[in-house]
Amino acid sequence: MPGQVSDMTNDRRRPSQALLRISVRCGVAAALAIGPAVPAPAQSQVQAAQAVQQGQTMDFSGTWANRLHEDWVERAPGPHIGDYLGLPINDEARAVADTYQVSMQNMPERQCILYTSQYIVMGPQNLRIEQELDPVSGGVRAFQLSGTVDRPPHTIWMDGRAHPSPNSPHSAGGFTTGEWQGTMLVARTTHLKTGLVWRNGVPHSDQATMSEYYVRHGNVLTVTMILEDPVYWEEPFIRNASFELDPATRVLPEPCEPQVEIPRAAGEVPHYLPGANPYLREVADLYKLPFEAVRGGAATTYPEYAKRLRGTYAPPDRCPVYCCGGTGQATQNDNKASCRVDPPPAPARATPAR
Amino acid sequence: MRRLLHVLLAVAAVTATAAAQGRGGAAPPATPPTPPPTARASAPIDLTGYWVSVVTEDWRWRMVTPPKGDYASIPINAEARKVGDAWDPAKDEAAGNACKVYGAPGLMRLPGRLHITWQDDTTLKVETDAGIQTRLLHFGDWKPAGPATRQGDTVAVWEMRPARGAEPPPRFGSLKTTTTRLTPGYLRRNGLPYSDKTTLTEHWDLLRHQSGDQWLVVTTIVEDPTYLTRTWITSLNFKKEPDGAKWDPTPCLAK
Amino acid sequence: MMRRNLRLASASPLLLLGAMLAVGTASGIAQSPTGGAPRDALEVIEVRPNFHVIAGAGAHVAVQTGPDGAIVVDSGAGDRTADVVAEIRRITREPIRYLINTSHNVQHVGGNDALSAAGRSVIPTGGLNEIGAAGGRAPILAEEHVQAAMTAPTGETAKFPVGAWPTVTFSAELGETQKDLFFNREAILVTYQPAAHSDGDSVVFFRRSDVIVAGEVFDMTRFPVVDLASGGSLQGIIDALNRIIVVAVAPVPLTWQDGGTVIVPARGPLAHEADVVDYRDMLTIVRDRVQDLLKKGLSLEQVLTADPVKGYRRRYGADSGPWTTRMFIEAAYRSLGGK
Repeated sequence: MPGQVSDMTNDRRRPSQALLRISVRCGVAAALAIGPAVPAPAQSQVQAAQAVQQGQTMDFSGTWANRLHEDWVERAPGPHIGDYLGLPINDEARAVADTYQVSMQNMPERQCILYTSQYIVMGPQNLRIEQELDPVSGGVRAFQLSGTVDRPPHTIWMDGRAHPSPNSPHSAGGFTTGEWQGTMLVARTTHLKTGLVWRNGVPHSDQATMSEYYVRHGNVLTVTMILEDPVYWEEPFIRNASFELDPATRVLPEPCEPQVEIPRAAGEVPHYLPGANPYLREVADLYKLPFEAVRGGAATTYPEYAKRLRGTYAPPDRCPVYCCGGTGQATQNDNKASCRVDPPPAPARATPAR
Repeated sequence: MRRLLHVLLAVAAVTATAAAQGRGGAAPPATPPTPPPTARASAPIDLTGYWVSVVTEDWRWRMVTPPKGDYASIPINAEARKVGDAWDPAKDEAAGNACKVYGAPGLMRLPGRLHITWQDDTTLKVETDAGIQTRLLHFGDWKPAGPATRQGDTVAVWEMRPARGAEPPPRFGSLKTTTTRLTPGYLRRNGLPYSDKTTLTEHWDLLRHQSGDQWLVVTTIVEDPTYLTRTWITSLNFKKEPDGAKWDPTPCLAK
Repeated sequence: MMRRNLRLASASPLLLLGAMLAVGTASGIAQSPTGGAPRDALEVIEVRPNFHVIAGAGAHVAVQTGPDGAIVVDSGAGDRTADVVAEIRRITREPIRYLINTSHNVQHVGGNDALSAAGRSVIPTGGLNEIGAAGGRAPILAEEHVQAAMTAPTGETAKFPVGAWPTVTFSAELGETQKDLFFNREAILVTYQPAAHSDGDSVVFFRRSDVIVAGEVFDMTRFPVVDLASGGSLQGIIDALNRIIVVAVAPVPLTWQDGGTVIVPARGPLAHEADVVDYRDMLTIVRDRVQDLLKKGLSLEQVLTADPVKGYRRRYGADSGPWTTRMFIEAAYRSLGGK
């Protein structure tokens, strides 16, 4: 039949029922909220409103495993120092990132500072999502995205509340409100603290705002983020992460207690003076890339830039490092020049018959 | 008892008479059923237009040719590695296989532009300027058949909540496509292979940003029992452009 | 008048909805003296149930309340003091008992006279003693250098009216580096920070409320003002921030909880320890860059050209206004020994 449509709703209105029940089918949450006996016209209006709400919602509840099938190097072992490939950052951001020493992270006062909520798509962590339902309408009042190692909890308020004023404190999780566009959850976050987008020091400021789009197709959840930051980013930065529903995945918060790892003078801040960072050309040298490309910038993300490189760029003969990361062919931290060949499993010994 | 039987018989007779009148009486003529809307008419989202890839992910593996042996992020098996390690772009070029990375699973990851139009009411056409390729997405009762091709055979379906009663057609939904019957090709420019047993599933979602920008996000799921240990899941971003002024057809490049 | 609950983002949804509904009255929007267009309303942020910050009257004004009365830290620029007093009256019916100044910067002391007059000394009969002010007004507490900067010897014209002068001081030169109070069942520590924004800075720590009012050493909207003429220095500001970091407590070990010590900056969003760490790190890096350039013998103009604030200019700098990026770099240069 032309225009075949797959029905994603779970429309089981029963006007005579006086039972509140929540059910899930094919990934769609449907709430049956029927109040006490009321005259038929008013009751059908309530049900119509609830049905519209029901049909526009998607159930994102569950534990979602981050598969790291893109940017495994940057998300798992971490980006090389000076690697700003594909990031539409400006000169200010480059200056901050060039100054950055990873050693800053072991300053006791920085050890327990979390990444901000943009790290949901930038980082390697898994995700657990729970929904808070309004007990009367059955609609989703908030989504709670759990915090985990290095990442804060992230609440998406669906009840139409206003964002706080600019003078209100910021947090690592930010303040987020959401709305439905069909079965897509669209969220907007303000009040983020200053944070790291990449672990090599690429920053976003506390003026950044973030739009998120949550889309579920079966057991795959795609989260798209658009980060806007007038301080450090040339244009909106779009990024996604895809997660797979996996009840066996662990998503646990991790307590943090700062310790002195490297003795320093009080108030000492490790950093590179301008021009003194010796590692900025590492990626360009490893992969024979033009240094200009490694410095990032909006222009380097468009096809026109690929065309500029065509004909002039020749990669190294072999992959130099992290060649099999995330493939299952090597450990996560494998940095050998070539992938290790796993020996076949030893055959089971036959047990002699008694 | 006899009186009850007479009543029942009378009722049955009246009913039969009424039914007979209905069958042979002045019933209104049957109206032909309204044909269901076409895929184009029922589209919940408008994917037509020009879209540019914005490569902020996997830059090193998409904007340039990665080095031989660079397989990071893809769940490959030993056989895939063996084939990838034997990649020789000069041989591909000499054998007329310069377009091996431009098959559907690899094509969408290349930097370039899409031009999406309706070829007819049940077929969406996706053209790429990278490699000058065309994909046809077939709605309706399309059954993949015929020989395998570089772009394979794609079945498309809209996923959306149907309109209820007098509600206007929904404005939200997404496109799901399933592509099979692919000739072998490359997932990456450095010769990482996919086989002819590959199934490519894509979910095409339209994101509307508050700035007015529109984004097409394509979640791609590649299944290949020959070369992958499990499904490979990625997502690609395309930004809508006002027109085709930057359309730049470029032939296939083997490297 | 706009009220904002600090805990908007962390309380339960029902409480938050209730808080949102509990909007204050529509007053606080005052006509200017010339009868022109209404000015922006002051913003009142509840930090704790007994601690509020009033924004929009110059530098932030902090108010601790309780049965003993209101303790106010700084008084704003002076042109909105009536509105500030009105907001305090909405927060508490108790009188203003003490005004504490973090420096003599006009953005912090401009409303001293009117606020003190609106208050009531803890000594009902008034009198000229240490914990009172003549006429029963609320006393004004500050480090002695603040008093020196605001007053003038007999026969000379002071920059501020008599009623604005601190009436209770402590002297760092005499070894008094901290003044302690206990009000509303809370220890209040007023700690001197030498040669910071000026030579008379104090940072005020409300121990039970877990709030630090930082004054001009910490400004979320711009590079800190280094008042060289009043004995300020970049290193002194960094030392003050380091001290705040030591005193402040982050939400550890349960890092997923919002919370920890709240630091009230001179301007801009209320902060936590992590924000002070970012600001301190930024200033330390700038200091190190300027020192490196000084070691190489660069002149001021050459240092300006080298742009030692690169990476932070867009966030904290300004090309015009009362405190520009150039002014900050020059002050940093000179305070680090540049000629």
